[in-house]
Amino acid sequence: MDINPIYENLISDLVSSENGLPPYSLYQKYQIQPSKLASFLTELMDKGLVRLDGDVIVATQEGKDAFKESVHKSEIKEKESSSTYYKSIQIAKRIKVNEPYMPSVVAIYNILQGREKETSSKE
Amino acid sequence: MRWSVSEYSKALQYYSEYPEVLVEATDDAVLELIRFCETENEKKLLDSMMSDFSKNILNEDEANKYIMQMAREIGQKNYPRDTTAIVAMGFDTEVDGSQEVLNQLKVPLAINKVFFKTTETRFAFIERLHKKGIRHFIVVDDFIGSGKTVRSRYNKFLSWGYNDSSIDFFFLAGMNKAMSFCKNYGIPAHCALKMRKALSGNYEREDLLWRIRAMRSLESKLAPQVGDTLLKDNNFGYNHAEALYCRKYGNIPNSVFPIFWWKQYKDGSPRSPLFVRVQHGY
Repeated sequence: MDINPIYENLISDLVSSENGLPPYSLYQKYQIQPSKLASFLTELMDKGLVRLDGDVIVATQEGKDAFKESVHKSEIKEKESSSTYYKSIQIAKRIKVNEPYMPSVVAIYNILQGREKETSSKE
Repeated sequence: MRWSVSEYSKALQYYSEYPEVLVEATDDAVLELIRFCETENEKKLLDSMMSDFSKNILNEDEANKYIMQMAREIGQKNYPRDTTAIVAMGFDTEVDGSQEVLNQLKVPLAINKVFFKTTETRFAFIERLHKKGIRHFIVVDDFIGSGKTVRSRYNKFLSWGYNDSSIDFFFLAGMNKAMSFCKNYGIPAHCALKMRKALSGNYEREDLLWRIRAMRSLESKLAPQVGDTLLKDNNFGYNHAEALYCRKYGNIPNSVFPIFWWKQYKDGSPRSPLFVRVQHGY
């Protein structure tokens, strides 16, 4: 089940609440306007994921299972995308796989010369 | 604007139970309407009107169904193809619902194998059509509220003095009272979706009285005039039509109670109504 990220916290509250939540508490916490909450609840009720118990919104068992799965998926996604290590490695000029490559002797000579200078100056 | 618990709960109820009525409305407009109803009777009246209104918001499919019905009724009249024209009821240059219905009728008429010489977008063009040999005029419009506009068109037609011509009016939707008015006046009129007056057509005695009092009280909080449009002409809807009807995303008829579309409060401050009405001079 794909859920709009805006409603993920709201759903998390619904799942964790045993006796359900009055709609007004969701307005107080998230400033969600009645038109938005109504269309969101209608969608969830049509799918059998929540029900109205008097004036209280309660997540059904089916809803709790679906929401947990959805929250779990979003956590995995977050972990996968949380590392920036590989993104930080930037190679200016890539060579293709199996592309012939001839190292520049001059460049290697210069690098080696530079290292020698560094070691001799340290001594 | 900040919602109270009861306001929020009422708005949520309206959005859940009557989403068709609130399709054009903003949350602010809903809150204003809820606050507009201050007494218990005003609140009760709004509840029952929202319920009645929701049954008469025509979506595209429903409108098409009634347009098809109009087309069938027109076909049953067996007008001669070469001397008949379909004309929109709009008189001046302002575009209105009559041209919309005229256009929407073209295909349903063809489906019913009903063909005519021409279509015209203005009632005033009838004179020109008559000179070209047209003798039967089918005038169409989207709504008939009180019948007064139809009467003025009919009188106009009679004033042209065509003894060799006939005229018939066809409406997508309208009020029973308006149709009776046409019948009493001898105007040949037909309507696909007929509705009773929302208050006096549905309630009697005490049930009606408290509703009338509550509606008067609500309308007393509205500006007496907006532009050139007077509230007293529109109390309980234009000519007391008491309509609760609108096509989804259509221009709300002035026959509907003004609490749903009047855009100023008594003190002149702006009001956010549930529906936007577009009207010359308003």
